[in-house]
Amino acid sequence: MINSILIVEDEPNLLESISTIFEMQDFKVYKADQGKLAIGILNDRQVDIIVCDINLPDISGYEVLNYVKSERRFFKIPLIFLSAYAAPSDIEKGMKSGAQDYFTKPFSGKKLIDAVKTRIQQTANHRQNED
Amino acid sequence: MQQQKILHGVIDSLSDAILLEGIDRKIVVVNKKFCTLFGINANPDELVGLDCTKSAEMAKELFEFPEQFVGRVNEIMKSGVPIYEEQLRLKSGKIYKRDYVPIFENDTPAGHLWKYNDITEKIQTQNKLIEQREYYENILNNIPLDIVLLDKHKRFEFVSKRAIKNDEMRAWAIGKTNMEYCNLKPQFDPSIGKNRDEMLSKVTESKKSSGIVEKFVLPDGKIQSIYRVHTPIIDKNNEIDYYIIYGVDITEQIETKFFVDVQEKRIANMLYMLRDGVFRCDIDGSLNLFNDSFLKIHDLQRPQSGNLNYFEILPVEFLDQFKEQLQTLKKTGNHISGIYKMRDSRGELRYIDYLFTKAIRDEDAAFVGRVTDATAQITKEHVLEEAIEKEKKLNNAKSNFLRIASHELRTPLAIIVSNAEILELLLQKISVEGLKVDPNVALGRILRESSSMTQIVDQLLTLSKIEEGKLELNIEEINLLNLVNEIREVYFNPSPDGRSLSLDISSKLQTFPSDLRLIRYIILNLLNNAFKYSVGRQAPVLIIYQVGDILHIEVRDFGIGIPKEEIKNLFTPYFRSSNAQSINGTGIGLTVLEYSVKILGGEIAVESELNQGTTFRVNLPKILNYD
Repeated sequence: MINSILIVEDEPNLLESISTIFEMQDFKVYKADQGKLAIGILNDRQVDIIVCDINLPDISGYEVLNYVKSERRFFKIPLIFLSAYAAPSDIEKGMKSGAQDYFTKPFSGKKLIDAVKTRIQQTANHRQNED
Repeated sequence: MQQQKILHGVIDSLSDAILLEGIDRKIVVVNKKFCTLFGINANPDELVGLDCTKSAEMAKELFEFPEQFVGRVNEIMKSGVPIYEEQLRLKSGKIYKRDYVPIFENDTPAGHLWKYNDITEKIQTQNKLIEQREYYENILNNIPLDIVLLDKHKRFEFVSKRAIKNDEMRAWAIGKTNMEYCNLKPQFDPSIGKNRDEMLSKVTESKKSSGIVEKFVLPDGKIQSIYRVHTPIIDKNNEIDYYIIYGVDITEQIETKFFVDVQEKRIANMLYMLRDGVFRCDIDGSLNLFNDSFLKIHDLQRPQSGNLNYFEILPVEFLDQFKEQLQTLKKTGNHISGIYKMRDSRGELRYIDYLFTKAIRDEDAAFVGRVTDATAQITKEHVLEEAIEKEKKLNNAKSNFLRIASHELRTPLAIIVSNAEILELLLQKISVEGLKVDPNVALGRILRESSSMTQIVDQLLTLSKIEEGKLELNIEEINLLNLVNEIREVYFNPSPDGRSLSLDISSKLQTFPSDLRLIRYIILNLLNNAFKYSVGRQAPVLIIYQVGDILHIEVRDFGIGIPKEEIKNLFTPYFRSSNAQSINGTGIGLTVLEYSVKILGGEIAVESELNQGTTFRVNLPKILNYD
């Protein structure tokens, strides 16, 4: 089964880089360089996990997260923040807001892949338990 | 006969009462006036030939002492010498004057001539005058002044008791001149008599009053000052009738004035010595008092003549505002203050600090005030402000740099790292055999340098948080043994240069309450430095043990060491020791490290020997009840 991932990042080179990393892992990758575009993709496509920047040109990563958590259709989709905000307080804030993980830039691709796979697996397990 | 008749007529018309008796005391001649005075109701002619002894007996009852009258008449005649102006009191209160002349014929007594006058009125007038004189003398004597009257010939006519206290001397002085009196007073300064004479000459000439201050040394040594006024009294012919001279004791006034003068002089001196400019001025700006500093501050010369006006001194652009302030001050009575700037004669800018207040109890001025040259101060303040502003800008720039460097570099780094990882993944799938250079080695370099750059960026972030004062603690129970082993395994077993860290850990190591992230940072940073500065030598040693509530961390290397004089600068941001210039580094690590130790309440010490190695010792307390 092919997993789908939504990458939200406004820096095009980084967006492409992250996308490539996940494409090489056989993910179906959706790319968004703005928060609202990300929400549009969520509504149009089936997305298993979101990797989201915090500082976006239109709405912030937190607003994207809030949207995901507020919609019954999406609230189980895990979201991982990937941000240049690297202070301990930023990380704490991100984790408290309901994100599954918080990666600071620069990040280890391997660790990000591991985290994404782990979260997808955990979500799948939860679904099975509920069913 | 005819002659005798004429003579009788003359005698009768005389206002004097005349009685001529012969040697036999028979009346020879008597006139009407005599009859009137003695109350004889008869024609004088009828009396001729009558005996005077009898008439005297008749007339005696008119007198106060009748027998005395008769006795005296006889006595006079017996003496045979003229008597003049003898006064006789009558019972009626009248007073008669009597003159007697014995008459001789060829040296032989031939008769007696009596002359009587009623001088009652004259005497009464005289008495009245004496009374008046006494009355005025009494007044003059009681006036608290030395009063002397001089006649037109400048001789003493009256001297008040105050002027000459000694009665005898006072009596003596009457009729004497000023000089005669002054010469008699040995205690007088010779100039006094002379001055008085000169003064008298002056007032005689000018016919105007004039005064002079005389000084006397009193027996107690004190100086007495008398203001002596000479006033000529002019008669109706515009001639000097007499002089009034009076002296007022002004010792007290002189002393007071002297005191006031001295005080005024002192105050004036003080004002003139002040570095501040002080002044008095009117509402129209005219200055009626100002000291030298006032002029100096405004770069002005003291005017030779005419007045200075504040409004003309002030810079034109400031004048309206200033006048407005003065009007306000006039109404409210508070003070006004401020600073105006003006150009001095060399065209240089001066700042003048002024303070005006309303003049109190000073009718000559509306305002008083002071001015200070504030140029130096303001220039200094400006320089200081500029320096502070510059410092602020620099600080802002630094903070901005730190923020940007610690934040903005992360995304490009992320792109580099992620793309290196992509290449790494790709390389796993393709064959690199036959290539002269192994791409994995190149990739390894990129990833390694990216990692060290990430470390720098992390340090910069910590530093920026330190500078913002926003570094928060996160206290937890730390398993030290696990921490140390993890650090060793992940980074230093072996380290990138192939050496492995030596550990010396106390077996009694327990959990320790503190901030894991900071302690990890401290240990990692010390070890990174230890490896970095001891390449090719014995591997560094990490010693950790706990005594009571204190955790001791010691990192010892055997590297290049630190020059002794530079140790004190080691924790200054961006400082790099002189023997480490060829080794990569930012000079931030130890700054962050020291701060981290301090924020955990600990201490850090350095010991180093050039080319022998360096030992860092950190002591940290347990952090309890941290909120």
